[in-house]
Order: sequence, then structure tokens, then C-alpha cells
Amino acid sequence: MNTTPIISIKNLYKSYGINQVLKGINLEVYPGQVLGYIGPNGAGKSTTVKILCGLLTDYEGEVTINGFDMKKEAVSAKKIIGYVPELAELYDVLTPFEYLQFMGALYGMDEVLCMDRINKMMSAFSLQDNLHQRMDTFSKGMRQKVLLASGLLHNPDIIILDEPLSGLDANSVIMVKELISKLAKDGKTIFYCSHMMDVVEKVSDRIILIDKGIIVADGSFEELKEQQGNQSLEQIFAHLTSKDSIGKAADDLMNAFN
Amino acid sequence: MNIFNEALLKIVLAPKKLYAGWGISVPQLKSILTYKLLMDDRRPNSIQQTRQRSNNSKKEINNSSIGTILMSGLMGIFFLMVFRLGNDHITHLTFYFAMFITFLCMILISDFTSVLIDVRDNYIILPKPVNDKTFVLARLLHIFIHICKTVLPMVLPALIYLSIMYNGIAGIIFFVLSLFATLFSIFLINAVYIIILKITTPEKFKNIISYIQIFFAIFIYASYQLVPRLIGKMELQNFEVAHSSWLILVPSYWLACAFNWVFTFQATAIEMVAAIIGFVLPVASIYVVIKYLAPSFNQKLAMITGSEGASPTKRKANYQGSWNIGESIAAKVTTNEIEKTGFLFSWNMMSRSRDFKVKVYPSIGYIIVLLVVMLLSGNTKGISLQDLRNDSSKSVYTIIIGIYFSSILVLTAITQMTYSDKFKASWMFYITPIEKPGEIISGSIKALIFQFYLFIALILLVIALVFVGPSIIPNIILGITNQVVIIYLIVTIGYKELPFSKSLSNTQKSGMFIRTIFMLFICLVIGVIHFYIFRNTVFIIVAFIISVTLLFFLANNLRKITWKQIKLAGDNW
Repeated sequence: MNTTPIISIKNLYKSYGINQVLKGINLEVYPGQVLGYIGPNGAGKSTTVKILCGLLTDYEGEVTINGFDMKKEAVSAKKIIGYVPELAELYDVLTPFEYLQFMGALYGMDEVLCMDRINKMMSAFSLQDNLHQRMDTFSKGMRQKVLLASGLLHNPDIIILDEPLSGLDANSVIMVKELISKLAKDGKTIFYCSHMMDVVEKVSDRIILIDKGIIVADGSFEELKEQQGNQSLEQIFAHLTSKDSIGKAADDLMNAFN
Repeated sequence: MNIFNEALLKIVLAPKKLYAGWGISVPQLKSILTYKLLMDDRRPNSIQQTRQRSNNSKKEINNSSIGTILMSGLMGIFFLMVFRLGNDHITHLTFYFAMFITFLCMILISDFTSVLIDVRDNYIILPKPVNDKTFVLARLLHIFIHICKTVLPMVLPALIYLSIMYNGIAGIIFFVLSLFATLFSIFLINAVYIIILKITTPEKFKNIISYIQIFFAIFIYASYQLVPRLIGKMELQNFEVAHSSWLILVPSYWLACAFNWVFTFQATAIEMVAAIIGFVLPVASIYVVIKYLAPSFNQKLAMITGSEGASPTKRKANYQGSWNIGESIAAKVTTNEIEKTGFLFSWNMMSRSRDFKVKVYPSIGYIIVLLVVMLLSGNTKGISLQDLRNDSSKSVYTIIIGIYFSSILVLTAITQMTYSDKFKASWMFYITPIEKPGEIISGSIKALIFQFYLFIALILLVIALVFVGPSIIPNIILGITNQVVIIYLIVTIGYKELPFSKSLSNTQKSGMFIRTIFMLFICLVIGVIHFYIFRNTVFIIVAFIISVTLLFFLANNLRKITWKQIKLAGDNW
């Protein structure tokens, strides 16, 4: 395996006002890794992702992408990153074709190549008939497919996926999972952020669990199982991040009916 | 909840038995209304928005209705001017109610998309066991309360005036009739909306509504500009509306007659008929809405936000449309790929965003109306185009004023172009490797100029040619160039923002007000200079050269804007 990390995070701190969200994240990701980045709500997952793709710039610490400092050489870093955001936020009065063409142009892609890829990708997602239709009538799954395409369009080396499967139907989920492993084989680095433990368990070859702004577990699923006992990822997750027993919380909820 | 809301809520819920008889669930009605009012009070009105942002505090907003109440009170005082028209009740009140109903309808139109067609209702209320009638009545009453907060303070000045000039009974009759007028206004707008919903597809509905809003806003503005001028021509004191038979068709006349009849016990046959209509119609109309129009309303409404209409129609033929017009202009006026991208993006967003159109396009109408009014009102004795052409200096300066007035439109358009309710979608600008965001901004400003400003310029040119003739062309050209310079100045001074990237609720930067004043001051200065040189062709040519030089400088400067000069991305997320 390549020994120079493609993503390197050193002593990353980030606060919103007095609320410190990241409290010293240290992480090195190597090319070809599929990194599952998990943690409970509010742990700092999205914040990390936003810093990695250049949405947040006022952090403390050092973040380098392929040797480019995210603060000083953000433009060079951004060129090799593809980002699929969590919520289907896009300008939905545009058509997928226009939207993707726009994205391609922002990445400085060649126009002919870009159009060709848009057509191929949209056909692969079975959206070829909707290519010139405004997205305001699209379902969540259709929007998600457009976003996935927008993140892959410029053939980036690092792909940051934030809940990429939300709203997708079962067939598309299988397709995306396969796509992830194929991209990894191709040498792409995948930063996969999700709450769906079963998917993370299957697709990632390294899992990072963060809680309250610090990394609490780091390793492959097998390694985590060795450390924590032979449990599912879901159980490991619960064990590491929850103080009270979750079973009790469910009982309490049921008791509310009485 | 504040005391106004609570009192109003009690009043509208008073006829419990009547509601129950219609098949409406009163407890549900009450809770829906309670929470809607609570939410209304926490939505900032325009005054509070400014104040909140300038303090940079995240103070919670309560009682935002009080500001609205004060504003309406002022409006009501303004309405008192009708009592100087003519000297009988019917004349006074016909005009009063006409203004009153128009003003209310205007408020309704502008509030309707947010209040009546509250899309969140589809998710929150429709899945619950609430029947259609309850739902619609809740909406109507919500609007009614909403309106009361406007209506009551607006009526109050006239109420006091009438009570003092005549007696308390006059006041009470007047007050009851204003409520009738209010009901009638609700019906009018409601019926129009429901009928549109019935005859059109939900997809097109919102578009139609926004065009109606645009048209209506212009229409109202035009009538406010023109009516007082027409009134000015009538004999003020002896003017009486009573003798025109077509008046029977005017709703405000019915209400005026009703007042006159009840107050004086005297009426002609026609006035009696009108008065009876005035009493019966508002009540009947609300009944019609609930009984006949409401039942299908919810279904249709659900479809507006639903995913219906997403049938995969192949619109390839259509696709050649706006993108290509934009693209061919972009190819000529932009110098690189990123700038072109920015141009095309803004071009498409502007031509499709409903929000942008509704907020910006009415202002084009305003300027046309204003210009025409100014040109016509100069000559009071028999206006002919020939007169205007002969008296050309007057017309020329009117046109020049028109040109520089359009700065206000441009300011609106530039402001609106930076906002979007999809502002979160602007993540795409921040994650892509753009060296100079200035290129994107420059592209979108060019799109704004070509799509929006050239349209205004063309209208100005046509008006100028009609009213003054070809001799004005050099002045028009200078004016338009100056205006483009002003556009770039405004952007450079105040709006270094990526297009469609800011949230509407989160807008006012501190000091923005002063900057706006400063920008308008610059426009004024440039306009005044132009005004002093408009006769001298040499000066015009010199000014034109200066203007073009400045334009190149500013345009180049704009493209060099760096990320550091743009607000931090973090503000958005």
C-alpha cells in the first residue's frame, strides 16, 4: 500500500461560538482506502466533512489533501475531491443536464468530455429521460442520483460521500455499493459518512468512530471486533458511544404509553 | 401569544355552534389557529429583520405583529383624505372602501403564497384526521386574524373621524361595514385562487399566481398614481358619485349605500338595492367558499407540492430554448469558461426563479407607469404628442429622471440575485476549484444586465422615441452607459456575493442601509451632472468616454475579487 497519506488531518479543532465540535482529530487516509466515518448525531462528522471539502475554512489545525494545505492551496486540493452532500440541496429550477454541465465547468472540465460523461452517467442511473426536465419535480432519490453524478463527474481521486444512499431504491443502493468497491479498486479514496451501520460494515475497509469531537475507534471491522468482542458494528457503535443502555431507553419509550 | 392575538382568537371562535353545524371540529380549529398565530409572531417582519441583524444578536422574535399594526395605522390616516372629496356619505365611502378593498387585496396577494398556501400544512395537517371544512375554515380564519391586525388599525382613524364628525352610531355602522368589506376581500382573492386551481394544473398554478401578483402590483401602483391625478381634474367640492348608473357594479358603492341607508334612513331604490347587496354578499360569499369551493381545494393543494407531474416527458425539443439564447449571448460577452458558466447559471436562475420574478419584475412596471405619469401630467391642458415634442427640454429631463430612477430597480435586482431560498445549494461554489470567484460574479452581473437591464433600457428608448423623437438618442446612450457603470459600482461597493447564495432570513449586513443611501446618492450625482449637460453634444461625448473608461475599469476590477473578499462560506452552514 502507498505510504504517503492522501488525506492528512492533524490536531483539528473547530468551534461554533463557545460550542467546541471537534476536539483534536488526527487522521491519515491512504489512497485506495474506503473509510467509513461514523458517529452519533452531533459527534462532528458533518463538520469534518465540510472542512475536508472546503466549505468551512475557519478551523484550527492542519488539513492537507495530497500534500496541499486546505487553507493555503484550497483550489489545488478541491480539484481532486468530489463531494456528495448529505441533504439534496441543489438549484432545482435547473435541469440535471444544466446542473451537471455547470458543475463540470466549475471544475474546468472540457465541454465535450463533460457532456459525454453526463449522458453516460445519467443513462447508468436511468435518468436519461429526465435529462432536460427541471429538477423541482424530482423525487429525493432522483436528486440524490444527480448529486452522485455531480460528485463523480470530474473523476476525482478522493470521493467524499455524506449519506449517499438516502432516498435511493434498493437497486440503486446495490449499484452504488458496487460502484464504491470498484472505485476503490481503481485507486480512489472514499470517505464514507453514514448512519447506516450495515452498509458501513460491508463497504469500508477501515472504520473511524468519532464521539463528541474525538476519535474513539479506528481500524478495520475485523480489528474492531477483536477489540470489542465479536459483535455487529451496530453493537460496537452502541457500546462505545452510549452511556445508558439503549434497551432501557426503548423500555422508557414504551412506558410512556402507560 | 400577545393580547391582540388572544382577543382575536376568542372573537373568531365565538360562533361555535354555527361551526359545529357546518361539520367543523371546533377543538381542532382552535389548536390549528393557536399554533399558526404563535408561528406568525415568531416570523420577523421587515423592520425587525433589520434590527436583529444589525445587532448581530440571536434574540428570539416575539410579537412581530405590533410593527405591522403601527404601519397599518399610518395607512389609515392616509385614507382620511377621501373625506375631502365631495360632501355626501356615499361619495366619501365609495372611495374609502374602494381604497380599502384594493389595499387589502394587495396584502392578501402578497401574503397568500405564505399564508394560504402554506406547504407545511400538507405534511403537518393533511395526514392528521382533520376534515376539509375544518382545514379550510382554519385557513380562512387565520387569514382573517392576520388581516384584522392590518384592518383594525387601518379602520381606526376613519372610525374616530366619523364618530367625532357625526356620532358614535356612524362609527359603529362604519366599523361593521368595514368588516363586511374585509370578508368580501377575502372572498374575492380566495375565489380567484380556487378557480385558478380548478382550471389549471398544479404545476402551472404557482407560475400563474406569480404573474397575477406581478400584474396586480403594477396595476395597483398605476391606479395610485393615476387616480389622484384624475380626481384632481374633477371639481373637488361638488363632486358626487351618486348619479352614475354603472356604480351599481362597484362593491365599494354597495357598502357606501349601506352606510348611508342605515345612518340616514334615506335611500333611492337603486341605493337600497345596492345596500342590500352590500349586506348579503359578503356573508353569502364566504358560505359559497366553504360549501362549494373548499372540498376540492385540499386535494389540489396537496398536488402543488406533491411529486405529481414528474412524468418523464422528453423535452428535448424544448431544451433548445432559453439555454441557447443565453449561450449565444454568453459566447459574445464573456471572456473565459468560468465567467461564461456564471453567466449561464444566473441567466437560467433569473429566468426561472419565481421568487426573483415576483420581486423584481413589478418594479419594471412601476418605472413605466411613473414615467408615463410624469410625461402626461406636465401638460394639463389637452395633451398631444406634438406638444411634448415641441416642449422637448421638459420631456428630455423627464426621460433622464426616468433613466436614473431605474437605479432603484437595478438595486432591487442585484439584491435579489444574491438571495435564494435554495441558498444551501451554493455549496457547489465552495467545493469546486475556483481561483477567482469574481469571474462568477462578473458573469452573473453580465447576465443581469443582458436579461434585465437591457429590457428596461429598451423600454426607456421606446418611450423616449415616442415622446421626444430621435434627437434624444445620444442622451439615452449616455444614460444607459452610466446606468451600467452604476450597476458595477453597486456591486463593487455593496454586493460582492455569489449569485443565489444567501438566505433571505439572514440577510442584512450591518451598515447596509448607509451603503444603500450612499449608492443612491452616487446615482443622484451622476444624474444631476447628466441633467446639466444634456443640451451640449460635446459634453455628452466627453461624458460618454469617461463613462466607458470607468466601466472597463470597474468590470476588470470586479473579476479580480478573491475568496477573501467574499463572506466566509461558514456563514451559510
